[in-house]
Amino acid sequence: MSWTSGHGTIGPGASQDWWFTWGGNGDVGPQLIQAEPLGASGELATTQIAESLGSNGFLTYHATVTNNGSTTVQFQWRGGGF
Amino acid sequence: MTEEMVLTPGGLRPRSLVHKVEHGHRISSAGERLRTLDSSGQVVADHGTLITRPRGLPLMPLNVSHPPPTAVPALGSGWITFASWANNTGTPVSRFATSWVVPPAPATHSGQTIFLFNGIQNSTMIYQPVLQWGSSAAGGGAYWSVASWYADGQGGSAFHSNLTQVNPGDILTGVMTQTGTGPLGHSYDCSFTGIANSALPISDVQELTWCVETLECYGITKCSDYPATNKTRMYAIDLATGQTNPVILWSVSNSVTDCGQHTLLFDDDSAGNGEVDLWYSASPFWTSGFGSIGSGQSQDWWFSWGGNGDVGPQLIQAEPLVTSGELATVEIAESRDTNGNLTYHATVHNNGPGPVYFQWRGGGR
Repeated sequence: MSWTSGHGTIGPGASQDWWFTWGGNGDVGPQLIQAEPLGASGELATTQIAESLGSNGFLTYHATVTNNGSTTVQFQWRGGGF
Repeated sequence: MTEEMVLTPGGLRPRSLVHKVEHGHRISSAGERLRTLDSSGQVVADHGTLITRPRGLPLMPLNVSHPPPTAVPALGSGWITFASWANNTGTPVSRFATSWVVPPAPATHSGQTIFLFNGIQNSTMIYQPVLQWGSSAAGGGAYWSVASWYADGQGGSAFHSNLTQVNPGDILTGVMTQTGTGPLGHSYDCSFTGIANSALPISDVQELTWCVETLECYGITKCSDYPATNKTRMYAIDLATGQTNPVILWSVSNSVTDCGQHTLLFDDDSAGNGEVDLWYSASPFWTSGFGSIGSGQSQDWWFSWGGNGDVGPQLIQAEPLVTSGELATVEIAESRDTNGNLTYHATVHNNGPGPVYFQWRGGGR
């Protein structure tokens, strides 16, 4: 099941951390999470995907995007699991 | 004349060995005799000698009595899939609670009986608050119902509380507590929170040491005889030994997999947020390998499949099984050797402040 979520803007050379949550206990299995540029851009790299289990038994997903290009980029997140 | 056999958790047994315990009564095994006592401790019924089994192995699933198949094709019966933890802390389990949501009814009705429970057992008896679909010796039918059970294995006695109908979507909490310890043994109580007359107290019994989260079924003839959902989450697990919540690492046993049934660990917490998921069908992703990783460390793992190893592009992700900071999968790679075999590789990094116990999950298309 693929999804899109969240819009952001990121400057050249900058990195941003984003968190993603779902209902229930938060678990939606392994998830591919990727930043998609919405305008002309250089490389917009998703450098890390992580999972974190809270002390309340809730699983949160996390991704880091880095703008390797030379211009500011608007982007959205896309992802999916199984 | 052959005595009628009836179904209970643990399988078939003669009807004369199954006893309903009235509200306010309890079961005692003092002096290795099973007796029903009233609230003042007077003997109401003597059920004979307790059949003790050699210590060292849990009663179930070794002593499940499988009924002969009544329909063809018959799928697997007994303990289908379960997670277990043996208490070797030296302190008896003082509380074991689990919550779960009553699943939707099965899509098909083949006379099947489904039991879902958390339970605690020793070598001789098992103690369990049981959700039941279908009929058992306690009653029931094509609906969900609950009762507490205290049962032996093949050829032994089984005791149950009142059976109460429940509905899909109801949240159940099955709780077992140690209520005392004396020279004759341990005393426990078992009930569903908020469900009247579901209690089944026992006294003067050998310590109960093996904790389980179990899916047990009989009379399944097709996969649609299982509940019409992919899994049941056994959550809010609260397991205490004395006054502490021990470190627990569940072990998984998938005894019957004809419909893809399996157990997945989600959270090893023992202080009220633990979770084990009982799946009725195959999950859409794979799991593989357990590991531990310290704070700030990275680990490289390799994954291989049969044939030439090629299973297409694979998403591979580390999932923490305990409270954690960020557990990041920082690289996924493929490598082909000189024989043409493809191997997959992933690197996990623990960005959190403490060590993390984890498993790998993944999948392709």
